[in-house]
Amino acid sequence: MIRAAGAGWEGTDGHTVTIEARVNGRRVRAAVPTHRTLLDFLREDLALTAAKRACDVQVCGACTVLVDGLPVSACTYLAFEINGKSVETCEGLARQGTLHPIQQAFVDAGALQCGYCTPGMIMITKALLADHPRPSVDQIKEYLHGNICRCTGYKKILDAVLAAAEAE
Amino acid sequence: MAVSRRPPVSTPVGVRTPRLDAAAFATGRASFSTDMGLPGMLHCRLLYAEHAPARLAEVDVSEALRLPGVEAVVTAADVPSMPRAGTSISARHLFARGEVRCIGDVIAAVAAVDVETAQRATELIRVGYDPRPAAYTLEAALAPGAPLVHPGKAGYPVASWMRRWFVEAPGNEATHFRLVKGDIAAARARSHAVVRDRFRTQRIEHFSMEPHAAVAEHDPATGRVTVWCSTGKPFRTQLQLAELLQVSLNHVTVVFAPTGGDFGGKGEVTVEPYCAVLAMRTGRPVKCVYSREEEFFAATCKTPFDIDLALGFDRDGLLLFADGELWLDTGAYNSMSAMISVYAAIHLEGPYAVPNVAVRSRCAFTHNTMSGSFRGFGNPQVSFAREALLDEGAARLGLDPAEIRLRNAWRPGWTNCTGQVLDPAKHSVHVREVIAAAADAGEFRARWRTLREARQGTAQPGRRRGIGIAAAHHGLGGPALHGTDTGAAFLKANPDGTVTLITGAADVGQGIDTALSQVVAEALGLPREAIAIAPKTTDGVPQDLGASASRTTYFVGNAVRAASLDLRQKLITVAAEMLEADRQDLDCAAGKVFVRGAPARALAFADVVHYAMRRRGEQPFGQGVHQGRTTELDERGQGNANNTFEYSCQVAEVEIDTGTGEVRVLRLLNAQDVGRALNPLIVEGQMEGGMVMGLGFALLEEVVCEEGRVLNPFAFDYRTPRAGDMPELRTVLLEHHDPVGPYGAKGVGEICMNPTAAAIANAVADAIGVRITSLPITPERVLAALQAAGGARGSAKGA
Repeated sequence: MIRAAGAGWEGTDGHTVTIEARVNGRRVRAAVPTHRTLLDFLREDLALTAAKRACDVQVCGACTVLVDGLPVSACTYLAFEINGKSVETCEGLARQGTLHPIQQAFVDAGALQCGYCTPGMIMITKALLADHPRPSVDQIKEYLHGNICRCTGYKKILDAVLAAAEAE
Repeated sequence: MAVSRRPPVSTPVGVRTPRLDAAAFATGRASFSTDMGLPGMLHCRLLYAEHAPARLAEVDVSEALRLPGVEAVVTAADVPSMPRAGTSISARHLFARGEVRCIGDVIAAVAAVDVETAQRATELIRVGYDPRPAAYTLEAALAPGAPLVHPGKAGYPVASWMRRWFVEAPGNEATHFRLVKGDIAAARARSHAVVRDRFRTQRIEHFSMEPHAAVAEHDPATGRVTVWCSTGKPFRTQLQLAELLQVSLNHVTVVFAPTGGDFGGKGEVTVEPYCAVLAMRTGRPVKCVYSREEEFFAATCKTPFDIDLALGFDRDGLLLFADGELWLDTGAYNSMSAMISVYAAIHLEGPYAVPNVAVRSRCAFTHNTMSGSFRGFGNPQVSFAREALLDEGAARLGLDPAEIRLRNAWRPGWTNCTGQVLDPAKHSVHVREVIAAAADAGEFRARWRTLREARQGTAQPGRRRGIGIAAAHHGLGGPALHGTDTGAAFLKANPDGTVTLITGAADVGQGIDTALSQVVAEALGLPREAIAIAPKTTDGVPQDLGASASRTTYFVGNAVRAASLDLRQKLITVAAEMLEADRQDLDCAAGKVFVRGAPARALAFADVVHYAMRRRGEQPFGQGVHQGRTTELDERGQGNANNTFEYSCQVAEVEIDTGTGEVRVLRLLNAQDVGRALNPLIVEGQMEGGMVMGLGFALLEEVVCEEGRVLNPFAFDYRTPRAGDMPELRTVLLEHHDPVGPYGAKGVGEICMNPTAAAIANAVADAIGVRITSLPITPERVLAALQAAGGARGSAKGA
């Protein structure tokens, strides 16, 4: 938090700070209360609702987004911390109606049922494949361990991640 | 046809194809109730009882009302005529009236400009509690002189189907279902071996990823209330709202929103009535979303069971009797638990030929939060007990666990415990095949012997492996408690030759819309692109009981098939006029009506529909219904309770660390009779999900209650299965077509979980030689069992 409070900040009045960041490639400039979570900022201020609220305590992964490529739980990450950084949400993956290979793999493998955990699962998969383009099953389980799915039993999610790794 | 550059895709019944709506979820575009927002929308938070049971000496909302941003605070005083709620016994005031019985009771609902303000306002409400004596456990509730949860219960409205089993006599016993088939005493006297034990199952949370959520809007000009909510039973939500708000059904619209998980947990109204009342009061839309904590204490959990079961066998291991006593802790209110007690009782015998069965199944009120419906509906609980005793019986008789199940499996023509004859012309009876398939595919017998020998020899110290097998059945459509179930569907033909399917099937993630579209594709020979699902509201689709009792594929699927065939006939009638051909000679395929044997004489659906509308003044649509054939259960629990039956047999192999007590499931196999997989990808997904949920029930999950409070109502204290817990999962789909189900299909979503915990528990008992009779099988219980046994074989009760 202290590291993030570097140059480029303006308008700090003790409660609200003005931030500049990139969200899904677009420049965003906003005044945010210091206690506002990244999840509320995305969902309410930017109307990006792919990241879901499900546990509020950083243990279920439904709100996973990438900040400078690293997966974070947006429900416990403060919005002002994205200042000067780049945020990627599930909405940013598809290009002109064409699904991202990870999204396509989830669709094809039947890796989603109710769909509520899916955007978070897809974002953690993106982080995994950036670190390990050809992940082992153990590596997949390790990355996915922080993301709860109550519907699928995880098997088809594993299938999807392996297929996405092949496709990318 | 729909505008598409891609070639048409044919996805009739049996094709493994992705869900129609999958891309909406994969891109995050699907709008759940939690994602909804309307202009001017307010946010609701609820004030719950801090102490219960207690009399409410004072409720003062004045300070809360003064908080800037608060638009309304509603208590019981504001809704004096709101009736009590409840599906079976109407016992619950949604706004506590003078007293609170559990910590899930709501004292006030606040609407404010944002969630934080609403929450702060609830904290400003002053409540005076006058605590009363409590009964937080079954033992306490049933003890002589126990404090009564509902002293006035005899005066409560009780659903007609529950009256027979409602206990009016003073006390905390709420319902008492009895089932009697044959003569237990005589069978007991004839038995060569009798095994008996007492089992306990725990409260578990549905833990749907999307919490309960709703947005309600009220139009004062028309009086209409519109609700977007996360529910698997939209028509039950509509009915309950209409009753509570005292308006007619055609003034309550429930919009089917994508629902982020249900598992039986989204059938009772929760946040919806509060949103509706506040919307009516403020004239603005109101939204309410449960926190994860509220999911645990304000909504229902899986009903905990206390089971006393005895099984008797003859010399050959054939079952002679099953005698069971079930007690369910229904919590402070009883809505679905009464029905669960019936369902559990009629499934206690399992898919086995038991000539004499007696079950006494009772619900008791306690001062805990309300328990209720959960995937399996009482069946995983009783399967755990029965399958344990089958293994004990096998051991006494020197049979292997697969053999005792095969010997007792239901056969066609058998009469089950409710007196229903298992007629292969009406429902599938393939129990032997399912058990044999699981045992073969899971190499059960060979592994069972190998592991036994390994344990007797020089096994790796500190680690023990075991294997278990368990089977279960599941009656489809729920016992005939509230009349016969009916599925209905409309299929509208559009002027461009496409069709729109209109059903009340609730898609809560199980993919029912996709499966139903495959039924249409099969019946009409239409490509996938030509079939769309109509957006659903309770006004716009036919009545439906919802996603419960594994019924939707069977009931709505059959209705969709009938609607498709009806539309087919109507299009053929019009085409016959156009082609001047005989109806008998016409057929449908690939979006065309053609003369059989002369395919050049063909008309596109579009032309037929156009002609029907412009020349004949008709709107071509198909209509279909499917009616169930169940009969009511009588005072001895006898009747044709189920439409058909599903079967699963599962094999689990576990490894136990005898130092830490940790149980690790290495592999889990499910051989399931699915009738016919309308879409194997979806069916496998249901099976895998149910098995892993069963693993959580067996080993990991428990909502811990003490003095009526939930001690672990948070995601970090409540442990659901995660990717790292996943064993090697294998599914074996056996497709013995059901004689009535749509193209042979039947439900798959509950049976897949029924025997899982039982199979894992049997594997643990096999590994350590001690039976743990309480779920979940935690490391503490394993260590305690090992210590109690002192390494020798014995019986150890769980804590």
